[in-house]
Amino acid sequence: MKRLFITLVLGLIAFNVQAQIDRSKIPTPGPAPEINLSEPLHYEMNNGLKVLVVENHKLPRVSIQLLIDNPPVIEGDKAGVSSLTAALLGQGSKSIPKDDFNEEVDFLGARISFGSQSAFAGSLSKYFPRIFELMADSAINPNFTEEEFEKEKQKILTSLKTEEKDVSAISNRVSNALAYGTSHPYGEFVTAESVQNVTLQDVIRFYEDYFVPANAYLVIIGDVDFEQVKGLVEEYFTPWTKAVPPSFQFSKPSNAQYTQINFVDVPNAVQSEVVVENLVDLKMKDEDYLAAILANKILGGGAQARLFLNLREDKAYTYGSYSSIGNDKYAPSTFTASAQVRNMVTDSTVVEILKEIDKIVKTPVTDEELKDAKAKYVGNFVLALERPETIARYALNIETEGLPKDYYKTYLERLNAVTKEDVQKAAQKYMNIDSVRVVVTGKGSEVLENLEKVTFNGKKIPVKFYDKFAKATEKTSY
Amino acid sequence: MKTPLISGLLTLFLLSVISAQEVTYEEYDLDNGLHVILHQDNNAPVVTTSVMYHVGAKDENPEKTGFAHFFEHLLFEGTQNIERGEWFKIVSSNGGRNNANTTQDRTYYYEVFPSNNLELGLWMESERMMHPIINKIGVDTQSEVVQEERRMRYDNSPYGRWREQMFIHLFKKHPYRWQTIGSLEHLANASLEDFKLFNKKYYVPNNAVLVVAGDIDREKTKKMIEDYYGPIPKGEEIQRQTFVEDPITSTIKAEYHDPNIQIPAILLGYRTPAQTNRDAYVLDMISTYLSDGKSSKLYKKLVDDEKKALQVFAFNGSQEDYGAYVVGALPVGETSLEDLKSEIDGEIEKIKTELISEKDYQKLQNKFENQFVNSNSSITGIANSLARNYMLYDDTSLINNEIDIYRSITREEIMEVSKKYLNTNQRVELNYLPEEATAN
Repeated sequence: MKRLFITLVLGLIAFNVQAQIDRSKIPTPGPAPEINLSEPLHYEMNNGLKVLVVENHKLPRVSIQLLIDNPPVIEGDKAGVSSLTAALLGQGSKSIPKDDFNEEVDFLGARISFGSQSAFAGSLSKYFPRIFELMADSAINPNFTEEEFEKEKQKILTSLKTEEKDVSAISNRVSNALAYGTSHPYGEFVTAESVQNVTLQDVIRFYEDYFVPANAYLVIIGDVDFEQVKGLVEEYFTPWTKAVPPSFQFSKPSNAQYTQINFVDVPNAVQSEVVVENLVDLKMKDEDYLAAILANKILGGGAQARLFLNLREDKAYTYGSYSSIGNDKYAPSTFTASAQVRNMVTDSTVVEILKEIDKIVKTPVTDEELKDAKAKYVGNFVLALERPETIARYALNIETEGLPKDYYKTYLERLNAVTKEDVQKAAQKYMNIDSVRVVVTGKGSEVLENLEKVTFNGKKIPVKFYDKFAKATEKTSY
Repeated sequence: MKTPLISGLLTLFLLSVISAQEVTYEEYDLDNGLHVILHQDNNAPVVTTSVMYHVGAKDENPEKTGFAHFFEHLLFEGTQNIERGEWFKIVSSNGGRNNANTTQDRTYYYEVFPSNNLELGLWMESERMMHPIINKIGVDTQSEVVQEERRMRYDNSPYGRWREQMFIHLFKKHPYRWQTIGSLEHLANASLEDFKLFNKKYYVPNNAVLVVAGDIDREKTKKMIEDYYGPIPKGEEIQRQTFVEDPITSTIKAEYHDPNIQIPAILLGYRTPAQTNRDAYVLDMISTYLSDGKSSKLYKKLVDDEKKALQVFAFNGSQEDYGAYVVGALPVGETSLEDLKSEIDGEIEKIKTELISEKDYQKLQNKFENQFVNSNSSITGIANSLARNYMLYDDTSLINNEIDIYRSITREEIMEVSKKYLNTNQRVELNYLPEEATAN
């Protein structure tokens, strides 16, 4: 294995050699630990499949992950076809009936599961070759039958029903649909009608189009030997036919034109879900990526951040309030700040969240906040070393996100170089205080009256009404 | 493609021996009664410091429920040397993470840091144990936060109250009849003095175990532990009440209406013995046999073959004094709850009357072996297991030996234990239903 040893100075090196402890002072850290970052072994097959192997013999177990990094897919009036494909994969293969397959996987104490464009397996190392074979066979030679298709369809229809009154599920669906529009892959959602439109043929076509090796990565981590893995991959993944997924265009979503409240009435709600959101064009390889995640960390990235300290620890409106900023190389991602709060304080929560966003956009963060936020990322970086999947993840990110080869080797250095000005610029660019959408999902009869009175920076914020499926609607009278 | 050679492989598996790395540890007591467990693993520069207190919802006064969980919040408010609002900041600005959780039996606090901050983690937990600040502002704030937690987890969440509803009926005398979140009314009526007394009684070194796991030097660590924890005064001996339930002898039928759901659920709950009892381990295997994995009996029959259930689940919640084995299902389409119940009963009847097959028995053994290997895969997980095994099972070595208990369980025992506990007249049948449609 090729190894790279880097020693990084993480902070101040201080030795505490006092004989007596002084518990009134925070203990100072010891010398910074040495960081060893190794790299996975990798190679590429002729059909395009890229293989990454991390040998780690601490425990006698192996995980196998197949990821297909295709661009997002629009499912349109057949939304649900990808979920059905996922449900029908891993039900045996052309040569192993479903029941025998399930029985054998369980018998070996192992797990195999599928997404519509991914697969995962985990087992003890002694059963690894067989589990590898079973996973590969069911991935490449799936067993799609009409009977299973009908059954999975019923299950999806029933589970849609289970979330009909679920405030979080409704809030999620509507906030994505409003941010992206329902004809964007990230904004569309599954309904009973769209599931009814899907046929088994659609599933087979979806599988044939997208479950292909061009953008596929196979990541194997654990108690294995590289040569053994190579042999197994050659044997079981060579038959996977080389193919590239179809590509198509989708509309470019745009942000709201002005800050507004989008209200969804859910009469059974005892808490309101408040989600403040806007789209962001952010990729990991962007110059200001670290500044953007630091800005988010200071605003709402944990229990030490401004939103939590204000909305929970100071005002006790909520169990927790957080923000997040995503990144995506294919389409815009979102910045969101959210909280679940009791009905009575819904309007005040909207104002407080907007205030916090306004503040981080208009005023530089303090030196201490920036130092602390950086320290948290340094800590995350060190803590992640415990998990063998970390080095696989780093290698995958470098490959799929188009990052420089030394991205993680220079990570701490670049993190350290971010200034207060960089953070503010990123906040200004990615947190659009003048054009955010505030999606409130809650009990109209208790929260709406005050919500309609909300003003911010001297201006009244207009309220628009939507139903549970993100369709514009009229205000209900209570 | 080769066909599976299950029978041929069987003999091979029976001979195989587990090679999972043994977890080494060292344990001792300080003079004030604090139990200490150290686990050294220098593979990665990470250290976990954690304290488990032997106090949970079952130690609460029935008129003052929710205290243990409330303390899980309150003890982040600050100490004599850590100002209010600083706790999370100190952890985060030193690159760590922290959290806490409460069950009906114990409360657990932990931090994970890069290993050069070991002393910081030790200091913080010692501050919390030695002199936390319990004042009005902290109590008032956390009392509202806990109300929001209850709304989020129980009142606004689909199926959020099944456990609460089941336990109300399974336990009549034992404090397991209330949930850790407790009564909001009790919390609102509690005085500052009540909270201070609760703290003085339970959050003392002689009622706690400190675990330090990860990238440490054991001798230096011991010295620091003595420095920070040695001066904490021992608390009074804790007198614990025991509660004995009368056996359930006729089916308890119950019903609950949840305004957040559309699809009903059937839940069948059996009261089971203490988690240290061998029968509790047997019930773990029964639970796995019935509902873990696609080839498990209930899943295969109800979800896969007959397509009557959206989901089948079982939960063997072992606890210190008693446990609860709950099996349940959500119907698909027109299937009635009665129908699901009789299907589940059919499978339970089988384990009571016939031995499970040799092959299914071996499958169970393989599953538990896999689980055992995975249970020791992170330092944080190891720290939690060491604390739990010491405090609630009185046997730290279970971290390496628990698998032997499962290995020694026979097919005959599985049948015997099923007969002993899984009887219809010994259970609660809870119909968990959508709210009835109102005329509108």
